[in-house]
Amino acid sequence: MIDRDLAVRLVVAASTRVNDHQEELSRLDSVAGDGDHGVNMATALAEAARRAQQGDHSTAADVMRAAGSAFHETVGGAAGALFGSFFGALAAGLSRSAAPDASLLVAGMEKGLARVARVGKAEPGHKTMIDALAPAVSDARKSVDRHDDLGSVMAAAARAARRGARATAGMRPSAGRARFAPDHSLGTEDPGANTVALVLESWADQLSSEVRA
Amino acid sequence: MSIRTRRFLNDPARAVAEMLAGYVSAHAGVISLRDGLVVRTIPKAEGKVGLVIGNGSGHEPAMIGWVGEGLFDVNVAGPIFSSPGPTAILRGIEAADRCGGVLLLVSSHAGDIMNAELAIDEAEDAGIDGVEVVVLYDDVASAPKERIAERRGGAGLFFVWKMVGAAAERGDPLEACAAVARKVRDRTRSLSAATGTVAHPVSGQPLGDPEDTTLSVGMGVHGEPGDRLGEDVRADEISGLMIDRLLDDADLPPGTQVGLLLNNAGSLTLMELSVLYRGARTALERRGVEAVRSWMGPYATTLDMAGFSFAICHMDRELLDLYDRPATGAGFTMVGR
Repeated sequence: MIDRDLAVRLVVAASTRVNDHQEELSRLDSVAGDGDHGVNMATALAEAARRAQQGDHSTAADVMRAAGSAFHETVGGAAGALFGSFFGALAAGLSRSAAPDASLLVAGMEKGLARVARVGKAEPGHKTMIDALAPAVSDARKSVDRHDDLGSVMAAAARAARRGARATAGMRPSAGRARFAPDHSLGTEDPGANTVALVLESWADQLSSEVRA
Repeated sequence: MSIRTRRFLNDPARAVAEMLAGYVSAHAGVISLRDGLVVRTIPKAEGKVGLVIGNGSGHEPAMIGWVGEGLFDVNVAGPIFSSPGPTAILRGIEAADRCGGVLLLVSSHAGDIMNAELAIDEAEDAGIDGVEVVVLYDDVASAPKERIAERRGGAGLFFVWKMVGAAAERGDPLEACAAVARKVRDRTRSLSAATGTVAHPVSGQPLGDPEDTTLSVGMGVHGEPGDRLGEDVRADEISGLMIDRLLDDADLPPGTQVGLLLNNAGSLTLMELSVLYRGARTALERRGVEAVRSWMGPYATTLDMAGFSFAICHMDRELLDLYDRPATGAGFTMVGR
């Protein structure tokens, strides 16, 4: 079961991981964007972690909702809108049960993917965070349908997200600001897709360390 | 060639908040800061349409300098080069409400549109009605004419801000204000040019390639690249080819009257600006187009980018009347013709 405390640990793990990689993310963003993706994501997740830890939350859904609001209120921009919507959708998925499990988390991820696609008007292959998120959600769904445990589900999602993020290097952007320089970013991975991979990897690692402990 | 990285800031992460505090206190008769929003010190009369816009910072005087009588009621200033989030935009909508409806104007950039849409969803959820959104674009370099709605917002949108501001101030209802915004948008075109780039004050990362100092025409307000021009191209030629491209795109015949805007993207000297402006007037005359109103100076900047943009707005009697109505912002005063 994903309880309040586990959700807090996941948000904190994501914050630490993205903070450690923020310069690399900003560098990726400077190729076709404005070079602040890493700073923005690290700032938003630090605030998300603060709200997760300090807020008066009773469920995992409350924690994820608070994390989403941090994106919407602290960084803005396309990335803030999209990641905020994703965390909001995770919260909506988790809120469907008092004792949410891996299958509700994946339902939340599916809802998050749909919301990100709608808000961002992007599809797979457009060189966006969707290119990491879509395969991650798809593999997480397969894993949950096999009745894998939460750690295995997240590990499958993380592996697929990383593969998806790597594949964006070969894509030309057709959504967002980067689309004005379609050839510029050829050979460079999409920063948003990388953030998705980092967040899911941090969650997979957190869950596997808890199993070991 | 190097880009300026040393800036006169305290903590880059606090730069926007400190800018707002300083700017507002220097112009306290015109604007005030309320809950992080830039608002008019003397609010618009009750019953009139409130105008609000959110935008990334780093483009000043856009839009903090355009809050005031005959202009915006509220500006929601976001982080550097990033739209504010939906929560802040929703607060801006509420602050702009004078019981006559609120018009949320959006310069077309991915983040601005997404956050505006999320804010409208939140407004609906909160039971706030009477909010209209108009998405504005003008930059001919950003998409071909057949896909004009995919174009991004540029400096030409100052014609929209000015005229819709005048319409709202004189008491036009919400639908009429939205119609003015769309009409001016459809009659406005812009094109920008820049050489080199600037560094993002928070991350320190350059926007684009810092070694590349070629003149790029069609560059976006965040350094998105455009077409290249050689070193030997003179100012008059640059103005000429840019004006020709704008007139061709807008399909303006001889005898047309336009407003002409020459926007300083940051660090051009008044000398360069004036020389470029002179070239633009010559180019317009060659095409038989008359510049009946002009603006020249910093409108939408990209920090201290060495660049500029031209915009033309096809005038008619209605638009000229709106253009000439008084307006006062901390960063805008009406000057001559």
